[in-house]
Amino acid sequence: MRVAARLNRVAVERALFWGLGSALFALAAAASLAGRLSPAAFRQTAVALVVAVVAIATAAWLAARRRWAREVGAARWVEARVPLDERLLTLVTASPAVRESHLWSMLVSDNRAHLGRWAGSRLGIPRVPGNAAYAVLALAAALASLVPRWEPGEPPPEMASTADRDADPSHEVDQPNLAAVGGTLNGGQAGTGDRGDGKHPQGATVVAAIEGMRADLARRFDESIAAAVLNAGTGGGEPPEGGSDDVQLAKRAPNAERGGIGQTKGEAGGRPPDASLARLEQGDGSGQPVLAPEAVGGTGAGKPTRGAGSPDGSAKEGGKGNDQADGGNKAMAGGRGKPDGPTVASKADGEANGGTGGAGAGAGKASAALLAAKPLTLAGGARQTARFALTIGAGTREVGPGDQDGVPTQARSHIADVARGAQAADRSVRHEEIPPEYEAIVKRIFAREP
Amino acid sequence: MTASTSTAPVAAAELPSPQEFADTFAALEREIGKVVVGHREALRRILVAFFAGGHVLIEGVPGIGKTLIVRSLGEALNLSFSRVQFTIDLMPADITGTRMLEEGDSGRRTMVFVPGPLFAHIVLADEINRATPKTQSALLEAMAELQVTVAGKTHALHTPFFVLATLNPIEMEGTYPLPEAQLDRFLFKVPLSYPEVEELRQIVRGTTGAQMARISPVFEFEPARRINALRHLVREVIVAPQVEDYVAALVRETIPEVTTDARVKQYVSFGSSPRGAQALILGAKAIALLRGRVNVAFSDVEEIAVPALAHRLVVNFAAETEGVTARSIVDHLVEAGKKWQR
Repeated sequence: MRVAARLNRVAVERALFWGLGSALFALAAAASLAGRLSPAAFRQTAVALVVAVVAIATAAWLAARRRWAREVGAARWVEARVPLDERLLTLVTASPAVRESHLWSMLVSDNRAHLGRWAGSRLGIPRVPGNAAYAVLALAAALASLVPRWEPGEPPPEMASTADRDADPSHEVDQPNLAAVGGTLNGGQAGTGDRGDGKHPQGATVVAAIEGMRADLARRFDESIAAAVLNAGTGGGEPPEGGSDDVQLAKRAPNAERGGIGQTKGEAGGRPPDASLARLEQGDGSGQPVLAPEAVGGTGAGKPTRGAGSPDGSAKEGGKGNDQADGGNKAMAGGRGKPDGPTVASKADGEANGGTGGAGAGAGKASAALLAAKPLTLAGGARQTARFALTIGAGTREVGPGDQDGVPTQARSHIADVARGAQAADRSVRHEEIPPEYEAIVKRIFAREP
Repeated sequence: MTASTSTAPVAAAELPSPQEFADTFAALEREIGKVVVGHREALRRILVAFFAGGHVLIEGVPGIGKTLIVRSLGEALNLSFSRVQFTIDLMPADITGTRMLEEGDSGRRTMVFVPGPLFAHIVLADEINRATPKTQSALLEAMAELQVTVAGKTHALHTPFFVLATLNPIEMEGTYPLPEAQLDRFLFKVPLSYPEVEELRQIVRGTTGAQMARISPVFEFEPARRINALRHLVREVIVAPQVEDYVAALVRETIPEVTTDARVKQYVSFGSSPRGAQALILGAKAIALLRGRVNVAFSDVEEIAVPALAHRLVVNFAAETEGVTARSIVDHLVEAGKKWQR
C-alpha cells in the first residue's frame, strides 16, 4: 500500500537522521574536545559519546519499529485524516467471510469513488522527516570541526608521497636547494648537498613542508636586510660557473674581491686586492665573502657590526691560510671558482647556521677580533637597517707617516693563530643537527619580528 | 435472540440497493409524518429497529401519540396491524390465540385454532406493564421466537413481525414492571417526549379539522416480501473488525464487575447482555444504509448507543438518589470510548 510505504520510508529516514546526526555531532564534539582534554578525560568523553550515540540510535530504531505501518496502520492513518467513515479500514481489515457479502463489490466501488477526496493528498506525511534539519546541522558541525581550515591566500602544503616524488622527475630540480635543509633534517651533512635518505617515514611530509618553508624563506629573504645588503654590496660580480648552489655566493665573491682582503691563490683569474675598495666595503658593512663549507674560520665571523672596524692588514696572513681560505679566495678571484657546497648568508643577528661561514672567508681566518663590538639588534623601533661590518683583525703593522689613510696595504689573517680548535668547533657546528625550533627562529628573523 | 429469525434468505438478485433502502426509509418518514407531528427522532429510531428486525419499547405518557405512530406505520407499510390493550386480567391466550370448538356445515364439531392479535405484522402492546408476567412472557416468547405454541401445537407468526410496546411511566400502581430479562428483548427503548408548541399547534390543526390526513402505503404490492428483502439488506452491511471490537468494548464497559470506568462502577448494578452488542451492530447497520454506506462506521454505533443500551442497564440506588440515569451513563461511555475506536 502506498500510504504504508510512505509512512515506513519516513520512519526509516527519521531513524537514520537521528542516528547519523547524533554520530556526526559526537564526532564534532570529539574533534573539538581532542585538543582540550587530557588523554584520560578524552577517553572517558569518547566512551560517553559512543554510549550516547548508541542509545539514540537504538531509540530511533525502536521508534521506527513502533511506527512501522502495515496496511491496517496505514488505513487508520488515512481514516484519521480523511473522513472516509471507515470505508478503507473495512476494506483492509475485513475477513474473508465478510468479503463474500453481496455488498462487498459495492464497498469497493464506493471506496474507489471516494478516492478522489484523498488520493492526491499526502495526508500529512512529510516528504522529508522533520529531523532532517538535525542531521544537516550535525553535518555542518562535523565539517566545521573535522575539516582543516587554511588561512586565506595560503595554499595548503603539498602532501606528496615519497613514491610520487620518486616518480616525478620535476622534484629533482629543487632538490639541490633543499639539500642543505633537508639534509640536515634527515640526518644528512649540512653544506654538503646531502639530501638525506628520503626514506624517512615522514620524509614526504617533511619535504613538502620544507618546500613551502623554503619558498617562504626565499621570499622573505628577498625582502630582508641581508638581501638588501647583498644587493647594495654587489658590484657586478658574476655568478660562479659550475652551477653554485646559491646565487648569492656568486654575488658575494666579487665583494670579497673588492674588499681586497687577503692575498689569494686564485690571482690568475682575479684582480689584485684594492685597499680602497676594502675600505669602502668596510664602510658598507657588507660584502663578506662566502666560503666553501670547509671554511672553518667563517663560523663566528658572520656577526655583523655597525660598520665598525677596519681592515688591519692581516689579510696577508690569510694569504697563507689554509685550504678553506683558498676556497674562498678562488671564488673571490673572479667568481670562476666552483664552491664546494652551498652556503647561506650570515643572518642579520649574527647567528650562523650550518651553511654559514662565509664571513671572513676572504681573510682566510676568523678570530675574536672579527666579532663586532655590538651585534645588531632588531628589537623594537622602526625598520632598522642592518649593516654587516667585516672587521678584519689582522692588521698589526704600524701605520707610517707615508700612509695616506692608515689603511694597511696588506691584510694579515691570523686565523691560523687561533688554532685549529676553532675549525673543529665550526665543523662540529656544521654537523650539528638543527633543532626544530630553529626553523621558527629563522622565520621570525626574516619576518623581522622580535 | 433479538430478531434472530426475523428475516428470510433473499436471493442476491432480489437484494435491493442501499439507495432503495434509503428511499424507502425516507418515504416512510414522509408518510407517517403526515399524521404524526413531531417525534422525528423517535420515528427514525422506530423505523431503524423495524428494518433491523427488532422490537421497540416506547415510553411515554398517555395521549402523546404512541398508538398513532404504530397505526400510521402499519398503514404506510401496508402491513397488517393489531392492537392489544394490556390489562391485569389479560391472559396469554388472549394474545396468542386459542383453540375453540367449531361446528361445521355438516354439524360436525372440531377444535380449530383461532389466532390472537399476535398474528399480525405489526402489534401494538399498549401499556404492557399492566399485564401479568405470565402474559408478558407469552408476548416476549412470540417476539423472540416468532412463533406461538397453543395446545401443544406451534404456530409461526407472520413475517415481518414487529412489536411496539408502550409503557406509562406515571401510573405505576397496579402494574407489573417488566423484568430486566424481558426488557433486554427489545432492540430499542424510545422515549416519547411532550410536543413543542409549534408541534402542538400542528396537532390541533390537523386533528380537529374537517379533513384528516391520509397515509399512502409505500409498498403497493408484496409489502412483506419487499420489507424482508430490505431487512436482509441490512444484515448484509459489512462491519469492520475494529468496529466490532469497539462495540464489544462498549458493552463490556457497562458491566460493573469488569469495567474500568469509575462512573459505571459507582452507579450501575447490572450491565448490558450480549443482546446489547447485537442491537448496536444491527442498528448501526441500518443507520449506515440510511447514510448511504454499506459499511458500519463508529459514528453509526454512537448514534444508536443510547436507545440500544440504556434500557439494558440497571442503575443502583445511589444513581437514583443522585439523579444519574442509565442514559447519561451510556452517553458518558460513548464519549469515553472514543479511544477504543483507534
